[in-house]
Amino acid sequence: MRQIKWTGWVGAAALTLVAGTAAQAQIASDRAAALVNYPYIVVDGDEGVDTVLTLSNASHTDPVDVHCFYENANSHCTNDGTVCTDGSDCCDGLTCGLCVPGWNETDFNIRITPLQPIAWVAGDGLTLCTTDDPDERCFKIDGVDRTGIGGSSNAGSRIPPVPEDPFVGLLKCVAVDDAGTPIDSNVLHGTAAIEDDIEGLSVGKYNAVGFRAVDGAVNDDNELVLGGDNAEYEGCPNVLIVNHFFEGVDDPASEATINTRLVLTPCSQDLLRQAPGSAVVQYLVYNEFEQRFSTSRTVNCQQSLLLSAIDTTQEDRSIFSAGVSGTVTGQTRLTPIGDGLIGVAIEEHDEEVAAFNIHFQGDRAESDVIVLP
Amino acid sequence: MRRQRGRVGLMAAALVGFIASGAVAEVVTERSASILVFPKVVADGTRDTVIQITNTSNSMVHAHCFYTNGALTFPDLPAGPNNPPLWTEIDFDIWLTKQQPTYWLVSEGRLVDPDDDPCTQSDSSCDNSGIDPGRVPPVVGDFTGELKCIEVDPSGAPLSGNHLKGEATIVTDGDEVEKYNGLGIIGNENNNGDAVLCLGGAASASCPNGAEYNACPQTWVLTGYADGATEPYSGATVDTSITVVPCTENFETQVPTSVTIQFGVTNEFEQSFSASTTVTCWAELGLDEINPVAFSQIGSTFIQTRMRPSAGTASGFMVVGSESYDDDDGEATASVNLFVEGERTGPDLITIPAEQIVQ
Repeated sequence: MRQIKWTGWVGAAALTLVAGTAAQAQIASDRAAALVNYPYIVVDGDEGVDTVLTLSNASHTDPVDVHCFYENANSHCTNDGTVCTDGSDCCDGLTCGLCVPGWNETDFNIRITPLQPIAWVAGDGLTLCTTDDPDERCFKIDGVDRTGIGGSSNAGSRIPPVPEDPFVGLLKCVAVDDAGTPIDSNVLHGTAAIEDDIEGLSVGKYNAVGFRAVDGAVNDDNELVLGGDNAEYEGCPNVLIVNHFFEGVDDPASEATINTRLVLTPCSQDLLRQAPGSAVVQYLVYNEFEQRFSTSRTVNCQQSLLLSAIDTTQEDRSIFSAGVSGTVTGQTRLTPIGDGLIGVAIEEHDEEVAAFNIHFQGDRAESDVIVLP
Repeated sequence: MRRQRGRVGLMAAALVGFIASGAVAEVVTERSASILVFPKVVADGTRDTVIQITNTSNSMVHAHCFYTNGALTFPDLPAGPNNPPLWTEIDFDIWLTKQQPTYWLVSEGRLVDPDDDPCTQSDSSCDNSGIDPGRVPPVVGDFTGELKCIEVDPSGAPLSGNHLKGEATIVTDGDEVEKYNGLGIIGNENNNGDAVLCLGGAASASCPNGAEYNACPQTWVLTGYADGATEPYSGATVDTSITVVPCTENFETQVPTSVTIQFGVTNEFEQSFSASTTVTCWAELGLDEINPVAFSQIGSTFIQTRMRPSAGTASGFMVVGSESYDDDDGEATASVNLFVEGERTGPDLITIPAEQIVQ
């Protein structure tokens, strides 16, 4: 009898432990967090493309110091160092270089006062105000002429422009104390609006993906543990789910041709040793006939591809192509092997774009780690 | 006595486990849920909406859906006590096989037609090909309102399966495109499958099991442009609107719910302003319509807007945002899912006519 009673208590306690820990590992793009990721930042002055970023402090009373990192995912030609997207960009008529993927980070620090929103254009950056012009894009509370609640200010804040134009990469911001040590202050939320102004204005907007800190778990080292044992922040999802139109299909509302760009970035990154994360992604693609296709591809640092370019160079033969899948819409489930992943999707209707956050399901058992310099 | 103590211990531990696991009680925009809410669904001749819904499970899923028409009784006149929203609803059922995605164009609906031709490599025009989810009716002309889909079992009883996700794509003038994720309300194990869906709150006469679904959020947060602000990259003028629906809805009595919303607005100078408005049934409001001083003459380009239901108001609310950009080269729109904080003590109740459950 006593043995049965103890078994009951132990079993219930174990159940409680499982239920309690599982609740914490749910990242979100609709709640304030201590670590926010913007998976897709793009700037191209020649093409009229830039990204307008916002970052806000949700605290009513306390300012927040933030340490941010632009991560440059541009590839460069080995012969002249220019930015490239494929090998053909590296040929000068006589010789050709190789288009080699790159990854390096530029970091900066800012301070945001209570409830203050800040915003900047990625290609321009942001500094303290230099004039009294209310339309000047700048940090408004300089701590000299203007102070915020409790004397807080944006003093010491400066955001550089992205390091290259054209630029493709991501941005990561983590709440820190005044010594630069990460803290469990879940007060940050942000948005990114990708704007294309080359042939008429087009705007697609997404929410930054937030990793909430676990209360009391963030230590003072430079390694941010996402999920798993000894988690300091929520973990990356087990599966990502994207509802999408198949490539090349006609928009049911407008007859425009629809293509979708899927941007993925690994959760683990070593910013100290400049080693990007990596994952092999398994794609399961379901059409409206409940038929399933699959493919896989490795993601290093950042992957920004049209769906039809994931599995082939011939888009008409892609499993993401409407002509191959056979229906207008599909569901794609992405399971990473290696590091976890987050991402966003950008839907292109001819020249118009719309961005949206992709869905998550489940929690990874393994931790992802971000190592800060 | 020993058996009783053992059972009490199990019950207590399970209760602790439930409390620990119920830590996040808000709507979600990127996880599967049991109730999907699309607050902004329009098909008014200028705009149309494509709804995408997916079953994320390996079993068949049923859903009972409601279109709620929030258009004014007299569309050409301003809203007021003598010109309330129509608040008429049309309901229908859909069934999705395992992992099946589906879609429909709101103005046209979707018929059950096994002869729809699939897309081919030579023909990408294949509207409605696939396993039809059921007969989805078209909305009435000049429809501006909401779509709500509730996961049910085969008998029609509400079910906390948490298998539904969705998106809405709004196309304006056949050109501008905006997209938002459907708002998901996660169900829990307390769902008794009756006609009253309890969103948050404690046990009561209407909700004998207490909360059956997550509660509506206490606060919604929108960071974006002050109304009429100049966008810093293109120089476009930006107007922001929000589309609001109450969390509490009674499809049995067809009486629309009103909710009074308090706005707290903070600009880039950390200066704060406030405003309020009342929404009945459904409303798409430009920020300048709510309060031109708080949202237009606020002194900075960007603002953080926090919205909450007023104390004593009968319902929470759900909201999506939309930004309209206008420059010399043309126009653009972008939808935004807002951030959420906290949960209403609730409950909010969604009441379904009882005969729609027993099938």
